[in-house]
Amino acid sequence: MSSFKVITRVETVDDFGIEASQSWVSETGSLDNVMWVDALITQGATKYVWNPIDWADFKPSSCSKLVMTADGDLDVEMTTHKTPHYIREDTIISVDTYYQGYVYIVPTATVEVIVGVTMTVGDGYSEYNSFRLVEDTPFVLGSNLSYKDHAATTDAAFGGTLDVIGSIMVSEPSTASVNLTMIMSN
Amino acid sequence: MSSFKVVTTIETVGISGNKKDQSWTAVTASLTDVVWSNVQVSTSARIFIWNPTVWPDFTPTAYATLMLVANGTLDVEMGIQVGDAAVEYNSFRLVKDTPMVLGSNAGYYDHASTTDAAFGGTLGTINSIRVDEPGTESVNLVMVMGV
Repeated sequence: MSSFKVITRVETVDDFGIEASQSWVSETGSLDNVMWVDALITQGATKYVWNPIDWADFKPSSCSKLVMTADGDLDVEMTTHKTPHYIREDTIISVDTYYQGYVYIVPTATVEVIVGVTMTVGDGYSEYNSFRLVEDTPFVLGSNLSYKDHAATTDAAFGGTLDVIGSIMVSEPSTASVNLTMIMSN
Repeated sequence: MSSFKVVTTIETVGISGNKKDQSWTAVTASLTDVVWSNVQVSTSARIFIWNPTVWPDFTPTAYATLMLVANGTLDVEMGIQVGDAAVEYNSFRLVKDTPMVLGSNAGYYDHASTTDAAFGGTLGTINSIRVDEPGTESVNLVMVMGV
């Protein structure tokens, strides 16, 4: 049995010189496992750092606790409702079906497309969260829940459906190589 | 001159009993101001807690550092480039006593016009925050913005 504890202390000074501080402690026991993963993200690189849907047998296959921290700036993309969709060889597909995935096929006239490989794309309900991770400022999630399928509604993310974050991609904004540490538990 | 300092310590115990811990400290100095806000979010409420695009004269109008923490569960929605037709929305679940800290307001909008998900979009600015209490109990939220 594993456990995960996060202690956060914030100290501020405002424009009048008034100091304020507060600390928070959160501990979760009874976890199946916890993993620390280090990754070097080279200058200008964009890559998945966690993608268990597409990476067979990758552990953990899901995470209920997540920490991401780096020694430089990194842009982070988290996909909510990451699911594979396989287009198999010799299968006739409707191009329109896949317009929200990774694969865009835009014919200018009626064409025949022969797909000779197996490809993986997100499905039409996936959503993509993005933010910038800043040096030594860990991003901590105590839950993998997030909203998918915003587009079907008029009420932004909350009008969607609650689902789980299923993949993480990072992009180094062309400054320098960055060391990323991820802590994942489930 | 104002400043914002966050110290984060993670302590874990692995499946075989192996312990590991590490701390990180980030200090942002040279800020114009730091604003602490306390908001009570009632059961099942869905409210904006920061929306300077829609609320004229609301300050701060932008943040450089952000911390959100609650004493219960809250869903958080962050609008990226609100006011633009290609606005996008992040969403995360905030868990009791587990702060979410961002040292930047950058996020990607206009994903839909590309084939590369968020990173295929355009780097913009997070400029609204809304929270939703998922029907459990009234929750107290603390938001700290460094400007």
